[in-house]
Amino acid sequence: MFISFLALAMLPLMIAPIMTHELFGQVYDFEKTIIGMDNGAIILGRADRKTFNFLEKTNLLLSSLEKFHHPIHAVVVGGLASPSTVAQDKAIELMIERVVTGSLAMAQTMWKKSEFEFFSEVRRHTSLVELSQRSPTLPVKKKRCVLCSQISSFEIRRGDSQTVINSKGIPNIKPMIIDLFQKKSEGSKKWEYQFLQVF
Amino acid sequence: MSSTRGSVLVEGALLLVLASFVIILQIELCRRVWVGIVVQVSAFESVRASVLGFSETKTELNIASLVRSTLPFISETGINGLSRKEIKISQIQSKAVIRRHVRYSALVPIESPSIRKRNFEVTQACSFPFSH
Repeated sequence: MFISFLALAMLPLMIAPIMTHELFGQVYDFEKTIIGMDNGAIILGRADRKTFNFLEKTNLLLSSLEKFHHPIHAVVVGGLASPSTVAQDKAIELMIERVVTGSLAMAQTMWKKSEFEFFSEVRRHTSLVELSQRSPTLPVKKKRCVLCSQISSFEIRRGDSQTVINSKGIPNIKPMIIDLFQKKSEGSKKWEYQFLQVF
Repeated sequence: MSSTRGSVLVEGALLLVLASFVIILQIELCRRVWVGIVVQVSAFESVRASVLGFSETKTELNIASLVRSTLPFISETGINGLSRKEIKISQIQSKAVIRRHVRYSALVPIESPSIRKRNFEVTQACSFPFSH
């Protein structure tokens, strides 16, 4: 009889692993979701940085094309140009247009590709992460030159360049912001990314 | 008849002692697991914050509020002790390690000439890999 009492009294101790398993499971899901979120954020941040730096390089290319274009365009506008100068002006304008169209299409593809890479990385860990705030199109504004009215550069709208990553269904995980900012050093402008947390 | 009753009484008393011992042990075990999990999560949160460059102060406040809400039996001294962390960055293995430690009082203090146990201590370390 005493043995049966003993077994009965010890029963809760045998149930303990089942109870603690549930707790460990929750923590495992919590940390796995955070790791998925972080890895995805790193991939997305790097890809966006690459896209923006590509646009900065395009801006440099456009500004060097504009340096060739402006004197020729001034002559054409002044009405003193020979037919070959007019042809040169048209050729440079066409080149600028093609650079702008091609670069923008390329950057837009990179912007979408980085989203795809983010989701493929996140899905390896969890399905509970989403992009709660991200511009559907590349956050870029075209700027026209005041002299020749050609598109001379791309301006990145910094406010729209932020991406917010959130978790679905796990309330204790704080949303995370991928913030891209321009770093100026020794005359060059390069984009970098940082993570901010919403508390 | 009286001997049977006496035997049942003795067994009942023994069972009562045993059951209360088991319940205390069970609660202590659950508390240990609970504290271990929370300390591990707090180590994970702080090492993540330090690697990803989040605000350290805000993270510490967040952890303190998590501990206050999940572990009501831990004193304010224990929570302050928890925020004292030890960070170790291993350059060779490319990872940061944060160790957190907490002390909490036992449910039933054990006082005997040989053993004196009033507090339990839990230390949890969490590592987080990073690349340059």
